[in-house]
Amino acid sequence: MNFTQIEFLIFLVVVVTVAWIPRQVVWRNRWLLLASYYFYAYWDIRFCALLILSTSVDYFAARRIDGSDDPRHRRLWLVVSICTNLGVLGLFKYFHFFIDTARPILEQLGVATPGAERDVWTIVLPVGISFFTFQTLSYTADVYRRKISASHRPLDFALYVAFFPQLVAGPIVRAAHLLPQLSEIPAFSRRRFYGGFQQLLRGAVKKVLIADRLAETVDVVFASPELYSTPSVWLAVVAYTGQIYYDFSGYTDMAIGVAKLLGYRFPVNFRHPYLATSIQQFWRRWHITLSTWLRDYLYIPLGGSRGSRPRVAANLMITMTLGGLWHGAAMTFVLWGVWHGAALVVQRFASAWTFARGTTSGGRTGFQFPAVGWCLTITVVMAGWVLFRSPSLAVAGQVFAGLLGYHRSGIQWWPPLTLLALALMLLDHLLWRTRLRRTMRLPIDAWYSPVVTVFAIWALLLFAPRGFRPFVYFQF
Amino acid sequence: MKPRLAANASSSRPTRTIGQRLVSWTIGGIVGTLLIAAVSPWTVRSYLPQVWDDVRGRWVYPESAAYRWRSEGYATTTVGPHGMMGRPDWRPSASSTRPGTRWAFWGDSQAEGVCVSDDQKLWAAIEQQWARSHAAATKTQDQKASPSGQVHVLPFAASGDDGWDWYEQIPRVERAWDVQGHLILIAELSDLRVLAEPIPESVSPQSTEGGTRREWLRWTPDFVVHAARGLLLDPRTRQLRRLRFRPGPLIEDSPRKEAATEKDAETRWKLGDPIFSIRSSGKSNKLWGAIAKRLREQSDRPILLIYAPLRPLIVDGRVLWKRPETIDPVGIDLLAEQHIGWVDCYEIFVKAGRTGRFPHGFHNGQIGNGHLNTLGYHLIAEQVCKRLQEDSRYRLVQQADR
Repeated sequence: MNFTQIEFLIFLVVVVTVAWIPRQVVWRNRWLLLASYYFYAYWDIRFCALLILSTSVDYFAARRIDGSDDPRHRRLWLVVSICTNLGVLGLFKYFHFFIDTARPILEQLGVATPGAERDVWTIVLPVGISFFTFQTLSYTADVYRRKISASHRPLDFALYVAFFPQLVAGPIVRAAHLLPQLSEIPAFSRRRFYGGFQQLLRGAVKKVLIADRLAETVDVVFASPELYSTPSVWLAVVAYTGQIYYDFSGYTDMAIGVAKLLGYRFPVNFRHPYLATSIQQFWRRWHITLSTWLRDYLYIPLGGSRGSRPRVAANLMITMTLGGLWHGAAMTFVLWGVWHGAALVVQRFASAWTFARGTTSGGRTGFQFPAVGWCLTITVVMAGWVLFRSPSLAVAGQVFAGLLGYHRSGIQWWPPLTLLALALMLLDHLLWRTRLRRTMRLPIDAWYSPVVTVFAIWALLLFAPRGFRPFVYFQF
Repeated sequence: MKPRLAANASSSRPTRTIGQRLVSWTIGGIVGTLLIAAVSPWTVRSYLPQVWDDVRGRWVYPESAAYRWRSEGYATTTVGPHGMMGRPDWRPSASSTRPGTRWAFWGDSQAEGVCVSDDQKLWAAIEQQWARSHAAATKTQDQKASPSGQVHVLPFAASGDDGWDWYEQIPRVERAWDVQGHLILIAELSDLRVLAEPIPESVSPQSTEGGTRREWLRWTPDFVVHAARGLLLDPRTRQLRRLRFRPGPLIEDSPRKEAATEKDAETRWKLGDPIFSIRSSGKSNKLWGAIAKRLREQSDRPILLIYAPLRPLIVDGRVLWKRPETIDPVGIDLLAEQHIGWVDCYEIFVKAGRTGRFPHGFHNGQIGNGHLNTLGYHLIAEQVCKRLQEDSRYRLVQQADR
């Protein structure tokens, strides 16, 4: 079920209304768990089995880890959890990718691989598998590190894993953040409820009016970039830069808004990342729950920033490459991760070098001249998005050729609504840097709030592109 | 820190009562709606009621109404008498008093041209092209090639129309306007092919004089209608939206129609479907013969069929260059025997496409996919005027008129 479907609105009204009726937390959680499983089954009822498997394994593994003082025993159960989660992820998400990558070697060794008969091996990718897998992995790891205690309430834990606002595309909520909230009935706050509604609406506007409009241009140009002129290819790349941000942050806003309507708080996932003046800053503002997950459960265990420069560089490259692979089973995603990893390494060593020479004020995440830093950062980010969006490396090559001016005689295409959406994006970023930032939250008693709210609802009804367009991050 | 200070200052303000909030939200809601009503004409198409036109025997948009089109192209069409789109200056009574040749122009939405302004519609492009050719010929004193007098093209094309709609209206229009010939734009041969089938009962609808269809559209704001359609109708099928609440798996969408077109044509060719087959056969002769006969049943005046196929077309990242439908040369000969001309715009469209200029699509839709644009109309107009000048039968019409 997509957050922008009419069915979801009806579902949400029913779920929220019923959720505030029970006086006992167990009934409330049962209701929310039922609703969450229904929400997931809406795509494919068979996927629920995976959810049950992941929940069961991690619940029992965490209990065993928590209940034991034997390091070997604890490690064993941690390995069971990791293997189960990564095994499921590997099978459903990466099976074909690994087989395709390894095929030349395997064939030389005389090992038969599924190829032409691929239909027999078709594996459907369950929606949001990467998100709930990371969520449960972090839970077991936190219990193993004794950061939290294992949950003794299977219902709460099952709801934590399957909670529908964040189930399919995040934010990746840690157990320490959500489980305590699920253990009691939240106090109803009209202000928070209103805030939830506004955030839901804001997310819908971002997704439907900006991201989906931009997608209309992006999809066409990226399908055959060689047909379009250099300015049109540039427009499409800028449009995708906007689309991916507004699509994903729109979804996150909606997820946070829905959670607020139910009385819960989710962590922030975006802080206007395109205002970052360094690539390190970018990753502190973009998909924050994933980047902190990668930092806490991958980068730091690998050694983090301790050790020699080559070691730190290797840690960064491994973390970012796996981060790229997490997004999708394709070489373009891997290269996207490598690209960002390389950018982080370069920035880190460049900062250390300029700091040593005394040419910076000591800020390790920014450039001395913010405008230069911003230009470099946004260029790196946009080049990365070309890899991220392109269906293949060949297409990415064509897009880069277009950007570099090799498509002089192609189609000139200037979609006005795309330009309007980009103007809105620019305005949003400019306003965010001013005191009007608070105004954009539409406080309940501000005179302009009802005007803007009603206008936005009408705009959603009138200007939404026709046709169903799922969120970009659903595929991950 | 500044935003935080502002937040603290705001939270210290006394909160409003529920009554005050209700009032402020009601007023705010009305203002928000009025704002939308004010800006929506720039972005939302119009929805007009239709009135019954006894002359043409069909529902048409009311005279003098302004018909906005916003989603593909950006234009406002002034509706003329008897539903002539973009031609408000022509009445049947005035028809015989104006000098020049009158051609009735038929087709579907590709010919109707609501995506472009009135002076760029195909009927206007033909008139302008004719005038240019006439002026150029007069200047060079090339009497042989000189097209005579003025040409007036009366637009009767309407979205969704096919062969039966033209079949029904041709004699009515001839009687009312005294047109000297007919131009019929065909984007898909299936629109013409229906004429080879038995006459459907609905071809001669009952007269509903004075009736108005969808009267409620007169007093309902366009933005309300547009929003309601978006909510209630399925965007793909245009049928009433059916909500789905049962668990999945979801059934995959069928492949897009356009993407299948090229393959379809190939398959039909293999199956020997006459309208898509180049092979001459008895079946093909019968089909084209039937089409020619049907058209001639309704009119003995010159008819020119203008074939403007949906090519080149950009679909799913591919440019479709091949003909979507292959024309049987025998069919063209059969039409010619009945004095029905055939103008094929495929080659000129493809030639333009090869230079990056596509005859279909708009900046606010997709370049290379959609309805004919100004360039497409210009290319067609050139072909039509060339044919009208070259073919002696059409020249005779001009000369007779002079």
